[in-house]
Amino acid sequence: MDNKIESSKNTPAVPTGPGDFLSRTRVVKSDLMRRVLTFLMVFGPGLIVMEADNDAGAVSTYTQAGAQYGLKLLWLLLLLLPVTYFCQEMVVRLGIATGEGHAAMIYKRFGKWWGRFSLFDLQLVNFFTLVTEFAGISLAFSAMGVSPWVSVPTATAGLITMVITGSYLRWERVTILLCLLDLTWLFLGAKCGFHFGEVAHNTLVPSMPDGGITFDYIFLVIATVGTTIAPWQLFFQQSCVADKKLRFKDLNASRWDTFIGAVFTILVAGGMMLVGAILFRNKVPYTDPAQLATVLGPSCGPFFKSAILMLMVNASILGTTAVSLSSAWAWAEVKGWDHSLQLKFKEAPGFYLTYIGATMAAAGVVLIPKAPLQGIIIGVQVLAGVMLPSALVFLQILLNDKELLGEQFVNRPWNNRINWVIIALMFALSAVLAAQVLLPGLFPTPAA
Amino acid sequence: MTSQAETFETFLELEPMHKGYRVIHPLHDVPEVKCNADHLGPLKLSRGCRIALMSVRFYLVAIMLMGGYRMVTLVSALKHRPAPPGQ
Repeated sequence: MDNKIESSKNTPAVPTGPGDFLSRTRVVKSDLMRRVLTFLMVFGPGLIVMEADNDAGAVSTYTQAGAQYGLKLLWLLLLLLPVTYFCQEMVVRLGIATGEGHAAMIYKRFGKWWGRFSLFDLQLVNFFTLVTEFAGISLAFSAMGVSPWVSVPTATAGLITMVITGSYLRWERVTILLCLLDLTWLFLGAKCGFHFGEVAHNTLVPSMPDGGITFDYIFLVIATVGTTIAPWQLFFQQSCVADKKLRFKDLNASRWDTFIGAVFTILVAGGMMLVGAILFRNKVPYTDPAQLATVLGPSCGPFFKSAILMLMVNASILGTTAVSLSSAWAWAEVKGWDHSLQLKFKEAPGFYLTYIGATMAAAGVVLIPKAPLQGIIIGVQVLAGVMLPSALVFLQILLNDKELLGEQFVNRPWNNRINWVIIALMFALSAVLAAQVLLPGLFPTPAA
Repeated sequence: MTSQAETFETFLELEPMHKGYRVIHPLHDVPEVKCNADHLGPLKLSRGCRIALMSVRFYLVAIMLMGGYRMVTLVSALKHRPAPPGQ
């Protein structure tokens, strides 16, 4: 592993003018302003990793949950808020403490065998996830009358341009802007006409669907959990924190960033569920988000239809940039290549080519006529479900590594108790999901 | 563990008329000495950790066997599919 980036990009800190606001240094008069400004400078990776997880697959899962069970699964989102926060908080701590990515840490502390194993798993599941993101782009634009042969290459070019500018901050700001666009889901959710009390009640009080607990219900619960927490998020946020060179003193601000990101994501997911629940209320069958947009168009207006389709594109773009970057960071960390968004293309060709290669390969698969996209989407669920608990075990062990982290950054006993409960839960859920997908006849399904 | 960068964010008297805190973006701050794993080598795992990792290994192998079984089933189903009428 090299430390060339650390040494070569060290720029002397000097006070600069207002044009450098939030990017370099700033002199402020009060302690409060110092805290606020420090937080704003640290803010970013937490929001991005959380909101990028509301990708094409998530839009599909959350709207389907709403369409099939109305508001009855809102409570699950509230339950997932602390789960997703605790998982990501660990990688923040690890990233700030070591200044290195997750793949590099696994390689160094568990040896080459486990390192390669984890890297292979990550690259495999990331590639198929990317295919589903491009499938989302293709689907949404097709519903707007744009050919995939135009939309997919255009999106690919945009995604590559977004990253290869040689500025971490430029990428981060564009991505945060895309994250904030997802607030439109809350606006759409508010326009759905559900009473606030009904929404609040279903969020705070778990309730069973009218037809009782069926396997379809359990399957959707598992899919919702699997959608909300994904393996690539662990790798992405630790690498992002390392690339942004967050300092020990940024830990609390970074925790707040992650918590705000988790709340933001859960709220947006709730908005998606409310939009899907319109179909449930009107007893209209659900196929996919594009069909949802088309069905809601005549009754809710053209804005609703266009907004859902564009938000699906936005979700796919966010998912693609984050997932591709997690692949590129992980690969470059293990290979010992320079890997930073602060570097120009010629300074980190391996890193950028991995990003470009992953993006273009996934886009290419979507453009293959009659590509088995449905099979890939199911495969992604299984792979992610299988890999997540394993990734959490590695993370949990790394966060108990006192030799490396010292007392300051290791898990406290209460951290460990919470995390082992989460891991056990994830193992159980992923095993059920994988078993159902791999052996469809294993569990009885309710009669129609 | 202390951060070299902390010294830059203390109360500064930059000029007689200009007092304040200098806040530095992480990307442009002085790099700090991080916890370094290079000299540590592979982790010394406790019995509990070894059991957890072995469980993960068995779990993944079991899932892959299930996947393999599923694929074999599918291939067998394709091979034994009845021939279309007239052949």
